Amino acid sequence: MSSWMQGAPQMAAAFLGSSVEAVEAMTIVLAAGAARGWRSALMGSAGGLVTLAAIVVVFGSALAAIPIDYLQIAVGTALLLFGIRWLRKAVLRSAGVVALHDESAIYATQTNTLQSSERSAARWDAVAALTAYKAVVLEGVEVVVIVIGVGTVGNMILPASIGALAACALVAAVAAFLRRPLARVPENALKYGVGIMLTSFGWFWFGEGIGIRWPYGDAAILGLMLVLFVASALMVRCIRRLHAIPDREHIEARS
Amino acid sequence: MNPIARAVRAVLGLFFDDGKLALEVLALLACSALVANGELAQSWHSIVLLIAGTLILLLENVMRTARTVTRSSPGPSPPSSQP
Repeated sequence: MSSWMQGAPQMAAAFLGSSVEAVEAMTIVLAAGAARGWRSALMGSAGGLVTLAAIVVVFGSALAAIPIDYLQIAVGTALLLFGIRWLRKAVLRSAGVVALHDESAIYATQTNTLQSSERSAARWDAVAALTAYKAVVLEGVEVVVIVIGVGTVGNMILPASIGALAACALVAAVAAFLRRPLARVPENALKYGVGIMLTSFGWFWFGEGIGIRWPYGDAAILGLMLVLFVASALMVRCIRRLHAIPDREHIEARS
Repeated sequence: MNPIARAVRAVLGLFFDDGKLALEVLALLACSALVANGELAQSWHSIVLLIAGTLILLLENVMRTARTVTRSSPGPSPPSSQP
């Protein structure tokens, strides 16, 4: 019970991060299926999942052989780079500098592109299969990085994997039911939250790897998340003030 | 560009969205590791360097991006279809 409680932050980070990636992959798979045929799109997706399973098996066993200090440094560095990239984009989107991610627009663009490309007479459509395969592998690699990053070092790979699988299953079930992109998922807020979580885990693991003794042990991660949340919120306000960008509510009310 | 180079580029893109920021963060991590292993170092020296350094780098990057974007196109941009 207590180990599951300890694994809750890892599970939450993996669930939230994976749900964002699953929504992005699902939009492209849906576009490929609707424009070119479901059979090929689903076969491409299945191929992508097999490739991801192979990546997990290969890297999972390789990671087990790395000494813990080096693993902490490597995982911490990867998480920090990964998390800061998400956080940077989320801050710019929240400040109104960069437009919000729009799954409906992506779906429309992908569907138009796929419909306009040449279609073969065979039942097997290589364009649909490859499009779905590429989407599943590329977004899936991000899920693998998140799961390995937040789960490996603290021996929390199982809770992190369960969180990621639950997110993917939930998104797949909702998408199969709706048969359209999940445009109402608050992707920017999720990316913001996950960026904060991944960067905090990155700081923590890298710090442990170079010999930092964090005050309050593992609980320091929560403090790091709070610091990042406050700092990034201040950055959003600062950008809006300095560049005279109105609040998003005002932008939407005007348009 | 061949498919392998494209795949490598896509995977590296997961970590290096803005190359300058990524390199600055890597340099900061190297400095933090050096400070942590210094003879007179205490944990809080490295903690302050790591956290404050990352936040300053992020702040500088988003401010620079905001300045560039708002200069080139005033007003809010339309919804994005970029991932």
